[in-house]
Amino acid sequence: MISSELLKGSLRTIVLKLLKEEGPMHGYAITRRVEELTEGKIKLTYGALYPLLHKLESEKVLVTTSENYNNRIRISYSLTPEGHSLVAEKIKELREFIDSLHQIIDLKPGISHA
Amino acid sequence: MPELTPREVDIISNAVRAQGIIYSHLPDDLIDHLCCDVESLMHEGSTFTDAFAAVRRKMGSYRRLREIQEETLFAVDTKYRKMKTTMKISGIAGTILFGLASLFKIMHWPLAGVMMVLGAMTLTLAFMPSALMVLWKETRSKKRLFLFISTFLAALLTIGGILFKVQHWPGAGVIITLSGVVTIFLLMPAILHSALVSQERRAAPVVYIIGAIAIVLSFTGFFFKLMHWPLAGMLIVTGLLVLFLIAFPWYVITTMKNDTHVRPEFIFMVVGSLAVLLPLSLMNLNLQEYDKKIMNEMTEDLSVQRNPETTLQLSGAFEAVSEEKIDSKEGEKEVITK
Repeated sequence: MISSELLKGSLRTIVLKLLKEEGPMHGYAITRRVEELTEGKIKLTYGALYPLLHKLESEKVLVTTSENYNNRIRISYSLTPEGHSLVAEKIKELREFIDSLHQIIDLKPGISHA
Repeated sequence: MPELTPREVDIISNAVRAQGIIYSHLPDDLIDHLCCDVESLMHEGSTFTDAFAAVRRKMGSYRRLREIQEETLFAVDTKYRKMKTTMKISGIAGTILFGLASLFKIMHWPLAGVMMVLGAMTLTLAFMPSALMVLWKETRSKKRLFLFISTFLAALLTIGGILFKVQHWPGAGVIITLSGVVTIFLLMPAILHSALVSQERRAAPVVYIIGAIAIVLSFTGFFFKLMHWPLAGMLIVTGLLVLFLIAFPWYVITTMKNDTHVRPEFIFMVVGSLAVLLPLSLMNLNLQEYDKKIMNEMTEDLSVQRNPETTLQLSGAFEAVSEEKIDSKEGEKEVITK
């Protein structure tokens, strides 16, 4: 299980990418899908997810639609055109971060002094 | 996947709304999420009751949903974020200034007055309005607005009254009287009302009513004492006796049965009542001595006024004594010269 501390900065990108690839989703579906994809290693709590979804909505990156589902209201989130253009940028940023992390983690002793 | 019945959905949605979740479509988000969690556990074979209990357990603290709402507000609403920061900083700064000012005042060090004015201004102009704003954003209930505003008014007047009294500015008495009136006629009914309609109510309504009456009685008593009106002692004794021998034990007994753990409100109640009652009682002691002193002076004055002869006699005696002293001194002098 990956700690929420590590997850914090990348959560936004994870949500955006998922919505881009899979289309509109509701909150529970997002946590479920992330859990499936990572074989249970990343578990999004609703305490982390909903503040983020609402923030993205207020930034006009996401829009919501509501429908009646089995006696309750289900709110689905989807990307706006602005959101779509943001995803590529965010993915690039995250990839750079991962590559940089690799360079640090795979550092062999003594090489830089050669 | 099993589907929840309308009644089961109602149970979950009532639990969410009872926590005061009102922001935008967050209640719908959370209700749907909890319903899905419960359904997935029921899919694995548990009953609705067990599944819902398990989901709540996993959630941890009963305040968790409220925290999520606060985090959401904090992430989305920049005004709320600023207000919350202002509230925290001004609350701490105002209290420190006020505390230091009273220390300086007691020690007769300079700048006490300036600090007290600054502290009072921080508390009334920055802390109270921002706290009011934050509470309003978090609950948005018109029912509670009355409570917030009366708390705001009472605190404003009390702080103002203390400031005016300590600085010996005119009008202190009027402000303190007003704060007493607001506390007794606005704040107490508002607190009582919100305790009675609250869905988290722990004890029977009677306990709250008795408690409120007792507090109002003792407050009125203290207020009468301050104003040197009659019946103060009786009001205080009745109020405090009812509060500590009936309302408080009753409340504790009924809530102890329901709760397995000590709730923060309980600790707050104990510390809070001590914080209010100890200074009031000490002040009362001071007042009693003050009363006695005044009474003595007054009776002396009266007796002197009533029979002018005694005054004359007294002054005559005094003169006689002083003459004697002079005599004896002269006598001593004579002895010395001899």
